Amino acid sequence: MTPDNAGLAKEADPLSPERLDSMTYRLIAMGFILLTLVIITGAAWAQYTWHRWWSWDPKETSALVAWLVYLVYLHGRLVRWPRKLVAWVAVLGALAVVFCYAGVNIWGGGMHAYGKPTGGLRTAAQHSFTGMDTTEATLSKLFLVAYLAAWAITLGAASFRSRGAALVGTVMVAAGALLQTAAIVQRSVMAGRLPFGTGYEYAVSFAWAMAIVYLVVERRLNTPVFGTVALPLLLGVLAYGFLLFPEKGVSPLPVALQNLFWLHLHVAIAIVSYSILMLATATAALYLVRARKEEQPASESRLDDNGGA
Amino acid sequence: MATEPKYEYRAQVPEPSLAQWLWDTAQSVRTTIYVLPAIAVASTLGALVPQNRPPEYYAMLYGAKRGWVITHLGLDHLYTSTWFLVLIALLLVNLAACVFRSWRRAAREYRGPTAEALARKLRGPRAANCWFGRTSASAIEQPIVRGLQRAYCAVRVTEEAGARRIVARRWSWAAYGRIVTHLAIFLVALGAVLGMAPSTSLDEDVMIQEGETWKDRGKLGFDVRLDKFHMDYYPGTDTPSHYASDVTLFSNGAEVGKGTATVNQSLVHGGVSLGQSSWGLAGVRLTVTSKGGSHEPVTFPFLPSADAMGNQVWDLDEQGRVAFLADRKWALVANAFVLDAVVQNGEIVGSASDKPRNPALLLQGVSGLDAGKHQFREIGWLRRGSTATFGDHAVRFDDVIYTSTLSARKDMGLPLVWAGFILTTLGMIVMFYLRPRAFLVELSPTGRAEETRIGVAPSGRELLDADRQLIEQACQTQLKRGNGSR
Repeated sequence: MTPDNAGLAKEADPLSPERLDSMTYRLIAMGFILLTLVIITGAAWAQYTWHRWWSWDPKETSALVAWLVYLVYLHGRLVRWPRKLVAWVAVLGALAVVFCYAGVNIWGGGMHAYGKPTGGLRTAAQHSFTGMDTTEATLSKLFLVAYLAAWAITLGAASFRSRGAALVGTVMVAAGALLQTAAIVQRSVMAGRLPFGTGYEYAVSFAWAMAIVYLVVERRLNTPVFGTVALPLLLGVLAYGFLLFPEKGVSPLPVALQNLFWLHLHVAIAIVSYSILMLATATAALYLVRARKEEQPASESRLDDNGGA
Repeated sequence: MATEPKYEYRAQVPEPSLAQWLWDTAQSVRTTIYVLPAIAVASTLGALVPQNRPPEYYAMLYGAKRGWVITHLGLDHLYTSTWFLVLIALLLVNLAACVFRSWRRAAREYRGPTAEALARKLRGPRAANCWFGRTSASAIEQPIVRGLQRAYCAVRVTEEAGARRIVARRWSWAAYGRIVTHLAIFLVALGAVLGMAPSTSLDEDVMIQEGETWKDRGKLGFDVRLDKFHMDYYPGTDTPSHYASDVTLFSNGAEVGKGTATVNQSLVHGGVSLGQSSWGLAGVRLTVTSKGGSHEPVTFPFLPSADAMGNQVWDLDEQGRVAFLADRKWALVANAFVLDAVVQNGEIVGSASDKPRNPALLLQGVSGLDAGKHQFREIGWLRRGSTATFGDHAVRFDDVIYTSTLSARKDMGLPLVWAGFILTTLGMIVMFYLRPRAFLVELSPTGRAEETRIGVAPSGRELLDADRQLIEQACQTQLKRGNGSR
């Protein structure tokens, strides 16, 4: 099936299973292509720096694992697996992305050791802004508050079905993204490169990309319910960055990361890809909630089909 | 007593033969979605369990029982284990069979429905998407054709029983996107195999000590001498900023090249690229200057070993801790070595890092060896670049002796790998975002003057919103659902 033309109608339920399924598929299709590019640019960079395009390093292997999980999602739709099962695969895909992003650094070794968390939760609070420039610390506090407030407001908007509050929630996310952009620019100017060099910097950039992708998807879905599920994912990434990396100063790049062309290209694609895939999990999770009683097979739909999104 | 059956039914479809079953399984996407998770699970294990370590390492890290399981299941060298390679082979066979199967479907999609097949959809009970224009067919034909052409359609106009048939096809070639994406995976696989085959490629770790020459045994086509290894640090940190090996290349004893290999800049000679891969320490280098002014080099070799967690450790080789001077009267004894000296109350208490930023050596001198009455003389800790005296000698700690590992690579498979990567991505974009479309706009006179019936096929769900908008723009009108009657 393809979500038929009725799904396009504006007055249609923004959280209808068809729309959510279609949105999940669209996000995953785009995120999957980008994830492919993440692996390819990673291979090109590895060839350049490690002289081997593939060496089964835990980081590259876990990116491949995430890629394989999404491949199961896409082929599952092709053979018309039940849509709920397919949605569960999408959720599993996000876990694979999280494993690739953080898990490997925590549990695996390998050559991406520079992303390993160095701090514990016990001392996290007093090190939240250590090493940062004052302006950046202020901006960081502001955007953290903005995102937290956005989540609280969105929760309220979803509970009381208030359109006005939903709009305020979206504006708060936009404000957070704007403040975070300022913090990122400030840091980039100081470092002479984009903030992709340390685990903390990577988390902040990742969260920023999530905020941007969130705003795009939220505009399409037009419901605060999406934010209630998606914003905690963004806050989780920020929490990981702020709490587990006690040293947040601008530090020089390890030798393996010195090629700025590949660093910028590879990490930029990675944060966008991961963001899209993480938010696809939010839509997949909402689908699972909404389609509890549904037992229809998935369709091999395509992006140019008439979808709700 | 058993009675004869009155009727007997034979199965309509015969049981498939084993060969047929194998073929069906091979070309089934269902097989794919069983093999893919299996590879994913295996790879996850490989990412979690450190690879290619000695069995004792696993026993220590995971305990004796689990370590035994890991080494016996091949999880310690997972990516080269038979069962993992079998999974990869299964996937490739499945991929090949699926591509073979979908070739025809792609060709059919490429051709698209014929004009007649589309025209049939305009007749009969399910006909829809008709509109009546108050103008003649000839007047609106050209604007429609131009509009469709602008929207990347290949347009063909025919005349059939007084009606103009405009057949527009768009992105027909996109039918092959799926095939390209899947075939490109083979290119990558083939490139990987070529990259591993010794006859076409080279993957050699060249480990050389400073001042020594790595003798080629018919692999690289040249010998490599490491003149100097450099390791620089960012100021005030123990973060290295630069690793580089100055090397000279020889062929048949004659110098054929000279240059520097760094991490981010390989040195290429004769199709072989030499890249900086890792470093190590072979020992320490000192110079003893005697009263007469003669200089004598002294080295203390290291015995590389690994700590409990498999990290490289460099320390003095017990066998080589005594160095006799040329006069046979004196000897130097190295008692301890630290890589990055930490000084507390004038005493060296340990190493601040695992890099030789501030190496120090604890030395003793021995005199009277010729007289058979040897005597120890404390020299103490000697830092790199500093000099101490013992008897009528001066000893200077020149430097550590580095070893450098260069990765010598020649990968004939690389062009295939990159081509495969690019094609698979392009194929995906085509697959997800472009779809071959074919539609018919039929202009037929209604019998009334200056009135034309505009019929569009396909209709209903088969006509996507994107198609509809495209045709509406071309016809400059809005299409209504209906069966053609007013």
